[in-house]
Amino acid sequence: MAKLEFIGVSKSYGRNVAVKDVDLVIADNEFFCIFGPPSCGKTTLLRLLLGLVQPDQGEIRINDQRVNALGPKERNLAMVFQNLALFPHMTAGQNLAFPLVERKIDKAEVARRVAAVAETLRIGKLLKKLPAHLSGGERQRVAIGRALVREPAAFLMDEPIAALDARLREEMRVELKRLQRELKHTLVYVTHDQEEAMSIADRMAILEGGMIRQVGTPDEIYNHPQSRYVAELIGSPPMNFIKGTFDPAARRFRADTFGFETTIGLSAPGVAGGVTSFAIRPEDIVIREAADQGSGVVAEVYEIEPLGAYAIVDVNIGETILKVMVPGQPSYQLRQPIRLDFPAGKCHLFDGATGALIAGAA
Amino acid sequence: MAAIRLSHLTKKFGAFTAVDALDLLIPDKEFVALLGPSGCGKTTTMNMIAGIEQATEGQILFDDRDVRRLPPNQRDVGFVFQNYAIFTHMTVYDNLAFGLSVRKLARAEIDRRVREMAALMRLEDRLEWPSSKLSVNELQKVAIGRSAITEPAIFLLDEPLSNLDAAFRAFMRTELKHLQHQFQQTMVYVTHDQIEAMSLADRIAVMNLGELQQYGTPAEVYNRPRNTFVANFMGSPSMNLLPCRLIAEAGALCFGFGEAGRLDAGGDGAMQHRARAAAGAEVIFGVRPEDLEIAPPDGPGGLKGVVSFVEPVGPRTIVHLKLAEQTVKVAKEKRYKVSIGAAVRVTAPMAKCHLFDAASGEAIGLG
Repeated sequence: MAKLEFIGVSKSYGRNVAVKDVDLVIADNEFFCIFGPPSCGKTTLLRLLLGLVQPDQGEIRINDQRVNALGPKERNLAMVFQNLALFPHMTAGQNLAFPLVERKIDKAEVARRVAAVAETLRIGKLLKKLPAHLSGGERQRVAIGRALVREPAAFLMDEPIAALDARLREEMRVELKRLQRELKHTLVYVTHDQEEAMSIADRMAILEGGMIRQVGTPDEIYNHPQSRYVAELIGSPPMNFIKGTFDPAARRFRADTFGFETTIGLSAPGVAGGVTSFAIRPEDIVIREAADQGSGVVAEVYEIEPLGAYAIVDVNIGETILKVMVPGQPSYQLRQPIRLDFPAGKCHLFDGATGALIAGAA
Repeated sequence: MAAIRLSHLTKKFGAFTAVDALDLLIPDKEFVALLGPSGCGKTTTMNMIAGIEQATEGQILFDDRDVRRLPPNQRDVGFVFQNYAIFTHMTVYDNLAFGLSVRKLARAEIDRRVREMAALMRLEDRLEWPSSKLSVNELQKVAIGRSAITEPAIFLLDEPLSNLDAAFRAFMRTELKHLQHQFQQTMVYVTHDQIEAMSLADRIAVMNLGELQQYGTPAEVYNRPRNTFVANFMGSPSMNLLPCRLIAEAGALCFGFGEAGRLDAGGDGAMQHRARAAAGAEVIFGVRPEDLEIAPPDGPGGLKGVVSFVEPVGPRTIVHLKLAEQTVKVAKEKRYKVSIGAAVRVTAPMAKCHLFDAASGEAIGLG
């Protein structure tokens, strides 16, 4: 049970800024993902929480108490590392008992706690096996169990399943989410895989260069990105961007490289115009017959990527290539003309210079 | 330009058989993916085509030419590996020009082709850069361009996109496919990623444990998997494979899923036929997540289930349902609303369902 807080936290290594001005509250019982590209400060945030490094500025709180001065052991947080790091020469049971034996807790108590954890995680039958004889999912349970026997306030995980193959990763994340719900522990989970973050997080934070760009539920992050950076980073296939200019008085966006103009609904008046990017997700673009009248633009089919359940239709309007996601197995011809519609409620507009959101989807 | 014919191709390392009697015809100008999990023999197969590895048995023909005795440099193949082997002390221009220089082409011709390739790969403004300054994404573009520029008869690619970030991978997929349509080279592409294989290839050879499981177009492999391995490997999330009981009652056939209920095979002629072919066997019922429908709990037909997990994965929402003894995944549109714990009914249109023999894993009645 733990609420975890960063208040104005910064950390540099020499001239390298690892984390800058981070304010973040992770609620009790929350499955919280920290997501970002390599060296964006994700792992440093975990190390700061654990007490492995000290912040240059700001405060770290656990359950409303400042813990800056506390060492890792006194913070009572459990870390599960990448690749699970079980001792290969010890049985699952010995792995589970290890943190307790190391603390010289008496034998009867060790046995009691190992048995309790084994029951919670349903790994009682595996205790006599060596890690080499366990499946990936079983190993993950043992690794979590080894953290759990210490009765930590919260779990921290740094890409715990990144090394596994795709199919197994899919299974493991479901399992992990189920476990977290059952154990009712705060779990902070670092990943660079956006789909993984989206699928398991209650809420997530997106980092760039040590700074937090956005915090929200997966739904908020995916459907209401507050900056071009977040919009680009989240979603596969990625969001489409069309460069152009925006006239705030007329509320009109005009594309640079092809004839496309549209009215943008603004929630707040007084935004700057000028160079902007119009953005829409591949699954939100509607393909119609080229001969259809009305809104939208005419494009050509550039390539088709059939993926079974859906297809990605790459279309080009002159030099500009957009990705459109279509359910099922469509049968377009290469270079076939089609009409694209960009439904108003699904479009975003980002400032060309800062990448900040000017107008967002409904 | 060349067709590749592999006949009975076998590679043994000591007692271990990496590739087992592989027969495969890769037609001229086609893009063929060798797909499978690690250890399936896909890279060994490619290495034998390239001449890096010697076959233990079998034949490799490029058109009608037996190339088994030829060293790699006489086979007219181009390579791109996962770890782009490019010369970091050279400029992008010199890297692209390298293969043409060693072939002693005229300088004007080299210049023309380098600029053409740079334009295709969108590297025009990087030509004078030292390669050491390039990003990972750009390095791989140079590696692909450098190999493609020599226009080899056969182009071999071994997981060329697996080190790239997701957005760039999506971009490169499109560009690679476009490149192949323009160059019309025979391309053999090794990958463990079914999405890459589906989206890029004209044909996919699905391999497992050194053996060919199925060879067909992406649509064939996805829509008509020959066995449970292929059914499970293609698609994400993978096909629901549910052991069930074949029940014949009053002339009608249905599939029993214990306490969850039954699915009637009756409506669809093809499924009737398959179910009859399976009479007496233990069967596995297969249905893709996008083909299942979720309905209110109180209607007729379908299987009873409870929502156990909801995964928003961007463009889609994956709903996990707990049936009596099994779990199924259903793919719905994004922002699909359903709560964990909700009781629902799940129905499956029989025309989109599959049937496999539980013992052999082979598809039943596929013809």
